[in-house]
Amino acid sequence: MLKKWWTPLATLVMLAGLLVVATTDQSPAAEDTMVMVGGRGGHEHGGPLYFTLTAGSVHGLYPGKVKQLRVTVNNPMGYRLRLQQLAGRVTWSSRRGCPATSASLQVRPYTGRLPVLISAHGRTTLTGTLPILMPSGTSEKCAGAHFRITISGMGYRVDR
Amino acid sequence: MRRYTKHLAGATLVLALSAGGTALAAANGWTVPSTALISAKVAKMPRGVTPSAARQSGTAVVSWSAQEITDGVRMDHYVVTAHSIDDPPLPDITRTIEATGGTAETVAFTAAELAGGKWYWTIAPVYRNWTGAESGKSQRLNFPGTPPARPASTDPAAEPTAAAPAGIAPTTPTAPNQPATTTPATTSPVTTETTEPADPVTTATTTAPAGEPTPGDTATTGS
Repeated sequence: MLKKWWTPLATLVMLAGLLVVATTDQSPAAEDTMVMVGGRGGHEHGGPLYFTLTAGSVHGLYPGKVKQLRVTVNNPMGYRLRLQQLAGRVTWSSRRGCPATSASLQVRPYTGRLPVLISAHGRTTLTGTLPILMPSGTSEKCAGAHFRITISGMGYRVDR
Repeated sequence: MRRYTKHLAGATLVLALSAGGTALAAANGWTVPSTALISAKVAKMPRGVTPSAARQSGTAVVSWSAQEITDGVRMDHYVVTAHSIDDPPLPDITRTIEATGGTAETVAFTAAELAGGKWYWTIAPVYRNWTGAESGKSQRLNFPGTPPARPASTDPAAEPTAAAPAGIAPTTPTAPNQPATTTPATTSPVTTETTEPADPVTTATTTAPAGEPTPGDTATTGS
């Protein structure tokens, strides 16, 4: 009797698990899925299924300073790309006394309009920027520090 | 048993439809993520430039070149400290002055403050709440007399440049990490003591108190 109960239940759980995995992989909001860095990514029908984001490094930050980070999108796909989201956050600091938090450095929301269409095999430098702000009250221990900023984007393949 | 089989079949159908719908939706517009890492560097606070100190009209005039935290962004304040080299030393006299925005900064210390002591000066640049390292030492000046009673450290609201008495000729600020220049001919002839570069390495020794002038200092003469 127990076995009769167990079999359909286990099947159901397994299918539900598969469904959760499948849908999670497609969720634009899930930050953990943003794992394609610098050109590594999936392929579909032999073609690439990713795009790359590039931006120059930022120098000369000091309390109260705002730097504008300009981002270039490269679309190697044979399809148009509709860039839907672009954001950045501070993910690492070289100084223990200067943590990678908004108290030390902030990445403000993208200033341009989205979505942006990037042509197949196209490359576009976005008109908007990601403002990088060092708050006025940033700790003195941040002087000379290095930060790492992760910028992430989410787009959709637009069929031909 | 038949009932369970029906339930299982129903659940499988629902899940299959959901998965199929998801796949279809994805096929119409594949979600494509991307990330990149960017580096950001913060400016360093510079060490203060070695100031020059000169006696003019009975006061000590301390001057130095304005400093920048990064290109085109000057410091907003400086901490100027007069250090006594007497034995025992007199208390330091510290002033925080607002930068004028010019290429050079100057502040005057009155003879009354400095009477009865031999002094050298250092400066530290300040930007917002960041303070740079203390500069090298200026020339020494001797102010004979009886030391006034004063607290251990004073920080009166000091006026830069404008605080200097009228008629004081501007002094030439020193370049970073270079010995201060001696004072021009306007230096008061009241005492015979000479001013000397602060940091050149010599073999002269002083009876400096602990933690004060280093072997890099030169001896004070003529006082």
